[in-house]
Amino acid sequence: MKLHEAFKDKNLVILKVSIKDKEEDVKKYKNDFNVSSPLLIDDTAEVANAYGVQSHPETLFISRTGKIIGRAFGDKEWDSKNMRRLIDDLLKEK
Amino acid sequence: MNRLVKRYRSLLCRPGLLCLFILMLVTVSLTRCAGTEEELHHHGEMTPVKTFPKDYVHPLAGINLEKVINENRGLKVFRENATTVHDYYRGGVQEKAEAERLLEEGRWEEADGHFDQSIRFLQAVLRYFPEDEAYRNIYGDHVVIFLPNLLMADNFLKLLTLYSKIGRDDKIVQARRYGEYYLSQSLKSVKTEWTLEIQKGFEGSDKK
Repeated sequence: MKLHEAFKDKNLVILKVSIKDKEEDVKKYKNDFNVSSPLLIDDTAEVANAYGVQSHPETLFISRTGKIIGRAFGDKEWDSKNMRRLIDDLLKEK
Repeated sequence: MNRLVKRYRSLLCRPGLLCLFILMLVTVSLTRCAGTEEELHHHGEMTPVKTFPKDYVHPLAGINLEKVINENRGLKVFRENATTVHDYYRGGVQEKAEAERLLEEGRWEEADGHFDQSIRFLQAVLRYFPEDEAYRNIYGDHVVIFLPNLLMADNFLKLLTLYSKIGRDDKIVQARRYGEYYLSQSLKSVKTEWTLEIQKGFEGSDKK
């Protein structure tokens, strides 16, 4: 099961942000790869710049208080056991 | 700030929100391949780092303070959150940018504090990466102008002016010594027109 679906009832929100892509490419990607999480378009890279993102893909973990608590660079196996354990641990934190 | 950024920020900081967010920033198409080399560097593509002849002097148009500042914009790096060399480098540049702005406005004491922070960040970088490189994969495949020694030298050059403005002549000699040291370290590995300008700056200040 995908990460987004596995955690959707556990107070985890996954937002994918597509940087400088055309809407039609994003739609195609969403369909081709059956992406179920929200996929937002940052067409001018303003969001990426605001978050100091300088490589693709980059993943930010943002706590309940809005603080960035972690970053991951490059592709990861997001639905691996280890990753799920990490997210479970993060969700336990107040 | 852009409307989109505000929307994201408000979404992520809504009071009473109980969720953990994972924000994945991706590119989905290959349209980015149409960018210029400079844009590809800026956005972290798999661009190979160019090599240059040993005595090549990088022109000011290619390597300058403004470019370095632009490459390191983004969410402010706080010292307590910095974990990677990349964070420390960005923090050093961001603090320097703020110090430069305050210096322009004649806010000497505040500028002094930010130069100090910049120096602390860059000292951390130099513990792990002691050599300047015109372009470096600072992590993964992301290429930036990487001149921590030169940025340190420029910080100390600016501090010479600042110290004379605030009447701290006692600190000038030491600042010049540090500045010239970092300049010599930078020149060991990279030559740029910007470096030569800084060198002239130190020579000029020595005559005053």
